[in-house]
Amino acid sequence: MLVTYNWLKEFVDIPMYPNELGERLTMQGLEVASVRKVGIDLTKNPLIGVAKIVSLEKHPKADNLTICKVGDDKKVVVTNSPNVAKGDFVVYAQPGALLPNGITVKETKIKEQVSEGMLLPKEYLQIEDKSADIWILGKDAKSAEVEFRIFVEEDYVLEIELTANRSDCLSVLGVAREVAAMLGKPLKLHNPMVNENLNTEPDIEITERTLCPRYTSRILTGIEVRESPSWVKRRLSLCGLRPINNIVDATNYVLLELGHPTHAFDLNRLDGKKIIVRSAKKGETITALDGTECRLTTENLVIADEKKAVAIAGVMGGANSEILENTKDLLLESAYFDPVSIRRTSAALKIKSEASYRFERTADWGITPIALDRICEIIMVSSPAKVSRMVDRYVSIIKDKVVTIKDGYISEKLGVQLALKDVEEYLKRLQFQIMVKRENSLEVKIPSFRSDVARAIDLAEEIARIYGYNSIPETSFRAPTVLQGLGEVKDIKSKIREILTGIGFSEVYNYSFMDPADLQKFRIMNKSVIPLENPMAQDASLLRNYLFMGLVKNIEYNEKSAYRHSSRFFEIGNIFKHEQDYSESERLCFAVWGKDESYETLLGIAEMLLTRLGTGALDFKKAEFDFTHPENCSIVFSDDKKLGFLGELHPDIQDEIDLRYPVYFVEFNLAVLEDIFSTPIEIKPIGKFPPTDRDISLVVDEKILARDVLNTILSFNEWIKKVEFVDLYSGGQIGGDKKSLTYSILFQSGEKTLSDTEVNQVMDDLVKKLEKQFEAELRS
Amino acid sequence: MGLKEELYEILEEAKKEVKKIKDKKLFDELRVKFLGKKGELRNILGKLGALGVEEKKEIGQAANEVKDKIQELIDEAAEKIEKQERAARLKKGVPDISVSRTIPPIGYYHPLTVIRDKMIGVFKNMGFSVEEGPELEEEYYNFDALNMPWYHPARDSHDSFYITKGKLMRTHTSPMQARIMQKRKPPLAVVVPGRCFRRDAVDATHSHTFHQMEGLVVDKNITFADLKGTLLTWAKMMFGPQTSIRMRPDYFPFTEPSAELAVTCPICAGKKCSVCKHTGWIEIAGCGLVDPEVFKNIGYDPEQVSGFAFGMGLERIAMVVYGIRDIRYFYENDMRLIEQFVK
Repeated sequence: MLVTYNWLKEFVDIPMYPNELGERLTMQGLEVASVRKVGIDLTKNPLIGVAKIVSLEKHPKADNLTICKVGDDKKVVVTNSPNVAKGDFVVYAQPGALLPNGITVKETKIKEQVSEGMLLPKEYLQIEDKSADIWILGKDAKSAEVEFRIFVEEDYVLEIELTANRSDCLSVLGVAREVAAMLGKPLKLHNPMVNENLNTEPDIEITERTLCPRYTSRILTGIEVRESPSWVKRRLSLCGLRPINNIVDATNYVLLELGHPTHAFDLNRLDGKKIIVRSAKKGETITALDGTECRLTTENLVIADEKKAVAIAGVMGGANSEILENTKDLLLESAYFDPVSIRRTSAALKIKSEASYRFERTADWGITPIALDRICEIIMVSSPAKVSRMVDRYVSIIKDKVVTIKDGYISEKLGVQLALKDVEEYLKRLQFQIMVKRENSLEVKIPSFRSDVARAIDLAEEIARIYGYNSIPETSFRAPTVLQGLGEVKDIKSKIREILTGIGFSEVYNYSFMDPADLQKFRIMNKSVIPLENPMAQDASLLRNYLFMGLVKNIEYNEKSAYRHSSRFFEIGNIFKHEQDYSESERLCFAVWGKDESYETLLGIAEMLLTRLGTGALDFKKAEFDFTHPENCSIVFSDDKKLGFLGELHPDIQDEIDLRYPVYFVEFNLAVLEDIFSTPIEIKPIGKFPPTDRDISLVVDEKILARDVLNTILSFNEWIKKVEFVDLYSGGQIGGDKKSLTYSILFQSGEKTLSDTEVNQVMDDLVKKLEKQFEAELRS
Repeated sequence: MGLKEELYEILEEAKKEVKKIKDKKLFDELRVKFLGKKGELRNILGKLGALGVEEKKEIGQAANEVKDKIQELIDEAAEKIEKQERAARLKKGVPDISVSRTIPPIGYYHPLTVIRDKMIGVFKNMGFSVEEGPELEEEYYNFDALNMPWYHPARDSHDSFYITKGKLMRTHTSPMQARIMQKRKPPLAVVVPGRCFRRDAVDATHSHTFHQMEGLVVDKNITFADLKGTLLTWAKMMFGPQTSIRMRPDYFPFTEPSAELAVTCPICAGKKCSVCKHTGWIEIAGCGLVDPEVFKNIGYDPEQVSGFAFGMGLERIAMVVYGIRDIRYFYENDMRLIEQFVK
C-alpha cells in the first residue's frame, strides 16, 4: 500500500524525516518497504519553472523540429514535440537545471541551432512513466503555475507492506493513527461539512441484514462529470490509482484517505431509482466494471435495483449503472459488508479489487457516514451538486467490543513491569477508549476500525508495539525437568549419518515430488502413487514412493556434471503411498556406484550398518522388482521383520540413463530399524572357557543361499557362538550347478572346556543335518 | 694330541668361523656343527669312555667350558649381526612418507543437516527435546487448529499443495504445536525440525520445498521476555557471542503478540553488506506468544498456561551462514558443493 508523507502530515504533526518515519513504522509493525522521493524542491531548483511560448518557427534544417522562444527574455529552445502552440504555458528548464531523474540540462546545438535548455515532458519530472510530448499547462498564467506547483510538489511515497490483520491501516488515516500513537501526538481529524439542499433521500432496502449490516447513502443531483482537480489526480497517481473522472476519483480519494470502499451509481440508470441489497438469484448475471461476465449464485450478495443486479456488493460495480460522461444524478453508497461473504464471492468469481481487499479483511463499520460526506465534499470542489438527506440504514447493530484488562496482566505476558496507569496511557495513544477505570482493572472499548483487537492479549501486543519490542528485556524460562519426546532417547538418524559418512557416503536431499515420466523411466508401478491435486508443474506432480530414483539421478548428475568416477550417496526421507489410506513412512536409501563397487560391497556395508543398529541374524529372500537386476536383488529380514530390499539397478535402466557402472542400492524402512535400535542392549557374560574353531566346507546346489546355511549352523547347537562365512567357490572340480561354501565355526561353552570329542560329535551331527537339509556334501 | 688340546683346537676353529659369518641364518649351521648331537664337541665327549675317572672329570669339565664359550661366541656374534641388520633395516623406510594411494572414501553431511544438527544441539542445551511430524498433514492441524479457519486471509500466503479434501502437504512445521500439545501436558519445551511445502515459484530465494524448525515452550507464566531471552541465547550460540537480536511486530494467526526476529548480520557483523541488503540485520524467524485460541482449540486453559513459539527457515540460515546464493543448490546435490561441508 502507498501513502504520502505530506498527506499523512494533514492528520498528524511529524517532526522527523520520511526515512526515519519509515524505520520507526517498521519497528512498530507497519513494514515500510521503500520511501521514494517525488517532485522538486523549487527553492533549490530555480532553473525549472513555468514559461510561456512567445513564438514558434520551423527549424530550417529539420521538418520535425520546432524552434520556440519562451519567457519574457525569449530564450531559444529547440523541441521535437509537435503539440506546442503559441501562447501555451510549458515547463522550461534552463541550462544547469538538475532534473529529478538526475540529468543536468545543458545548452546544446541541434542542427546548428543553439538550444538554451529544454521544454519538459511529464516523464522528466517523474509525474508519469512515459510521455510522448512535452507538458502543456494551458494558456492561463495563474492556473498553469498552480497546476505546475501541485504536480511537482516535493513529497515522499511510503510503500507499506501490511500484515493480514491490519486492515485498519489500509489508508492515510490508518497510518496517521499509528504515527500519532508512536509520537503521542493528537490526531487531527477532519469533519466533512455537507450542505443538504435537496428535499429527498435515497430509497434503500436491505434484505440480507447480516451480510450488509449498514448502508449509508445520499443522492446528488445536477452534477457535471469532468476531470478531477489537479491535487486529487496527483495524489491518486502517487498512490497508484489512475484518475478517471471527478466522481470515480472522489470515491477513490476517500478509499485512499479513509480506507473505506464506496461506490457511485448513476441514479437514472437504476430502475425504480431504488437500491435493494439482496442475495443474487440463481443464474443471475452481471457484467462487472472491468468487463468480466459473472454468473452469480445465491451465495453472492448483490446491490440491485427493482429489476436487476447493479453491483457485486463490496467487490465491483456493474457496467449497467456506472458513471458516464453525461451522468447528472448520483446515488452514493457507503456501506459495510460481511468479510467472509465478500471473501467467498471474490474467490468464487475470481475478481479482486481495492474494495474486496478491504472488505474481506474487515472494514470500519463506524466510518460510513464520514466517508460518504467526504466524497460529497470532494465532488463539490469540481462540480455543482444538490445534496439529499442522508439515509443511514444500520440494520444489524454491531456491538462495541469491551475488553477488561486486569492490573498485572500486561506485565505477566510481556515480562515488563507496567503500572495500570501506564497501560491506560498507551491504550489512549492508540485511540482505545477507557470506559471504566477501577483500582485493579480497566474496561476498554475497542473502536470500530480495530476489528483485529478483541481480547486482552491483543491489547498486550498493542502496548508492546508502542512500548517497543526491543525495550522488552531478555530472560530465560525454566526448562522442564522431565524430558519429553522420543528424539532424546534414540536418535537413529544421527547414528546412521555418522556411520555412513564414516565410510564414504555423502548425504543428499531430494525433492518429495516426482515426475510421472520417472515412473516409466524407473519402471515403477503407479497404482499406489499419490498425485498432487494442484501441482505447480507436471515434472513435480506426484509424491515419491521410493527414494532410490533420487539417488540414481544424483549419481547421474554427478557423473555428467560434476565429473565423478564414483559415488556413495544416502538419503533419509519420507515416501508416500495411497493404499487403503494415505500413508507416509520414513526410509533410508543408500547407493554405491563406481569401478570398485559391487553387490557384495553394498551387502557388506549394509550388514555392518545393521549390526551397529542392533539387528540380530539377517535373512535374505531373493526378490525381483521391475527396476532391479533379475538375479541380483533380495529382501532383507531381521528376526522376521522386513527391513527393506537391496539390489542392483536393472541394467536396462542403467543403459537408458547411460551410466558407466552399475548402481547398487538399498532401501530400508526406518521405522523397523528404529524399533530394533530402541531395544536395549542385553549383555551376555564373556565365556571364561577357551573356544575351539572348526572350519567346514560344503558343496551345495548353486541355488542354495549361503546365508540360509549360515543361519542353520548358527542355530544348530548352543555351543556354536559364532559362524563366519569364509569363502564361496564354484567351477573347477565342483560341478557346474554346484558351489562350495566354507564357514568358520566358533565353539564355546559357558560351563566347561569343550573336549575334541564333544566338538567332533557336534560337527558330525551338524554335517548330517546339513546333508539332509541342503543336500550338502562335505568337502574334504 | 690329547683330548684337551683337541678341545682347545675346536674352540679356536669356532672362533675363526664365527668371525667369518655375515648372515645370521648361518649361525644355526654353526651351532649344529659344534654343539649339535653329531657336532664336534659330542665327538670328543664320545671318546671319554676310555678314560680314567679323574681324567674323565677333567676333560668333561673342560668340554663344558668350551661348549659354554662357543655358545657365548655364537650368541654375541649373532646379536651383533642382528643389531647391524636392524640398523640397516631402519635406514630403509616407506618409499615416500607424504602420499597414500588408499585414502578411504570420504562422506559428507548435507549442509541442511549440518545447520539442523547445530541448532538442535543449541536447543537441547537449553532443555528442549526434539520431535518430528508428518509432512502429509491434515488441514485441521495445518490451519484450523492454528486459528486459521478457511476464510482467514492469512491462508493466502500459505498457498498449499493439496492431496485430497482435508489433506495437504504441510506449509509449515507449526501443525506440530497442536499435535504435541494434544499428546502431552505442560511443561513443554520442544523443537520440531521438518520439511515443508508451499506453491512458490522456484527462484534463487524461493523453493516449493524447504525446511523449518519449530519451537514451542508452554508452562505457567511464560513471558515475551522469555521468548526474547531464548532466541538471544540461540542467536549467540549459532552466530557468535557478538550477535544481538532485534524484533519487530509481525502477524501470525497462532501467536499474539507476534514478532519477526532479526539477528545482526553474521557476514558483516552489522556493518551493512550485500547479504543483509545494507541494513546490518538478517530476518531469520517468526515468533510470538502462543495465541489463547490455539490453547483453547487443543483443550488447554489459557488462564492457566502461557507459552511461546517460533519458526525458523533452515535454508535461509544455511544461506546466510555459508554464503550460499541460491536455494536450489540444496536440492541439486552437486558433490562440488557438498564436499565443502567437511565438518
